[in-house]
Amino acid sequence: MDTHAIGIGMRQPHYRALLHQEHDAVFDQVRDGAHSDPYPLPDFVEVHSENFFADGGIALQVLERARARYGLSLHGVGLSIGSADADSDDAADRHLKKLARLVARFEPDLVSEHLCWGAIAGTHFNDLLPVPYTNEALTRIASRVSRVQDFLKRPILVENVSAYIAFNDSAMRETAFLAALSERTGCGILLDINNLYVNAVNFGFDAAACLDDLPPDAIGEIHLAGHLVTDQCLIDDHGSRVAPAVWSLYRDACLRFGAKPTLIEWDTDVPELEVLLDEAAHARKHRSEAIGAPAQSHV
Amino acid sequence: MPASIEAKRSARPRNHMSDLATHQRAFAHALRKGGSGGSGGHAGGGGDDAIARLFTTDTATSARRIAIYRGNSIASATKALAGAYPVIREVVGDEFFDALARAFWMAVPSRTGDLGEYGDAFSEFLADFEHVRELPYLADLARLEWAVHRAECAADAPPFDASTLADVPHDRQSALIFTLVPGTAIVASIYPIARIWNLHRDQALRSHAAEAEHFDIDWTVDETALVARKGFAVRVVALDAGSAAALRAVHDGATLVDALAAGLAAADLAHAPFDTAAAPAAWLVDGLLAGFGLIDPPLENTDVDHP
Repeated sequence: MDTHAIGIGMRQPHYRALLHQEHDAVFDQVRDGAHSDPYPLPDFVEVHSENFFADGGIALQVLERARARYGLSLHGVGLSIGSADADSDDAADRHLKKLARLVARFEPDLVSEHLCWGAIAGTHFNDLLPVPYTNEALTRIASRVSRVQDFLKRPILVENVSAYIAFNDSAMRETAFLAALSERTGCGILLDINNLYVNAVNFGFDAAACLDDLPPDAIGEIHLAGHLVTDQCLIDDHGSRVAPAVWSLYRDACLRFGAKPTLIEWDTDVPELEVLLDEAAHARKHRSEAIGAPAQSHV
Repeated sequence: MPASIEAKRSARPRNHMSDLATHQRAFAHALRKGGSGGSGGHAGGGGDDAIARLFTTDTATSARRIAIYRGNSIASATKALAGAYPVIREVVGDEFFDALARAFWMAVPSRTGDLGEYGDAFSEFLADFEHVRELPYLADLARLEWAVHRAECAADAPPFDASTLADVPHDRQSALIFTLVPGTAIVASIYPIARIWNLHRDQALRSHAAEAEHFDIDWTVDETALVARKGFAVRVVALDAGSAAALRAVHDGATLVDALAAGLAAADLAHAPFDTAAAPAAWLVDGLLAGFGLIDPPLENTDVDHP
């Protein structure tokens, strides 16, 4: 995937607008600059892999259309690579097989998962629960990531998660853990700038300093999203525009890592497509201001 | 190896759990134990000390933070359940459905990271759940909705080319078996579930304008519902006694001849008509058939020498 690519999370309310044939003419105009609309279509879309695990049905047809028109990123939320018993869990095994089937059919540009666990002893919480950043966890998760990559026959990206609790046992920062995981397994890193910021506020550390933990070459994608400010802590709800402080951190990341495929996520109270495209345009603008526009524009 | 280390090692339990597993079991316990309280916010009585040692935050803060995760987990499960059971949601209302979903999450946790599989036990749960006793048809309706959900996700069937049926030799017609399109299901009930499903589904598609009480439903009618996928659409229709028995037999792998015989017998019992010639043609037109095959000849014919 072009490192300058800008994408959006493709969610059900936008299927029609993003994929309907009738919109081709309109969007062609946009791309030719004959239209005052400032929002070009995204370069790629990202979907949650699990939403397309069915044997058949309409969802897979939607994904076929998306694949034909955009770059595609499959982003998993349920593989639970951090589970202590992932290797002996039949459900995890079936999950991996379904993911492999999806990857083989659609040959996506990117495949990613989260540095988290969701299941233990047969119960799945269907949430992104943090792991302690210990050497034991690193050994176990590296082994699991290697198994996943062997099974999928390709490297994956692993994403840092937002967290509301931290473990006393943690011996390193999440970013250092990710760097070590990447070094051991060859996996890429999906850096979620909003998650990093949320955690920095929730646990009182310097987010910008954490960027130094990460090897630039390993960063395969960047995520941006909005968060919710509450009395307790920041909550990563993907329900609003990207916060100014997160844009600022994104610019730091661009300076440090160069251009990386960047994605806008929005999952709660999903707005009109134009709002997401506007956020995508903001991402392009922030990056250009930080490191300059790509030498050859695709327009 | 020094004796003291050897002694320490052997003193550990044979199958001692890793620290990571211990962490995750304690965390999971706290997530599930606190779910029954209405207001949330408690990590759970017995696990408090273990939880307090795990996290950097104080016990009260940790409990509140765990409640955020619990809320996320229940919200994801509720959303998945609402996706699979839109008609039940329409019947009981959004607020009550959310409460049902929470109680179900407490009773039957999710087993997989694929939430498309979540909710298969909802019917059994509803059958035993005292707060829905006034809606005794709900468990059967849930069985029907789960069948619809599975049909929507079932493998796409290539179109059935019926002309190839002409190639079946006349003396092999009794060996003919049909396979049904993936997702096809037959759901029997002592309630008019097909009618309830269709009325509420239309209602859910339109708006929340009318109340369920306005529906003209004869509650004394029992119905066997056919769940049929055609293209990407799934429909639900009530089957007559003969068709229900015949299709169920086809579904279970019986020959066409045996299935039609089962249909006739069931129709006789119900004093209902059943046209054995028209039924298979109707299945074909309705897109229920995916393909056909021939079972092996019966044993008494095997002594005949075939080249």
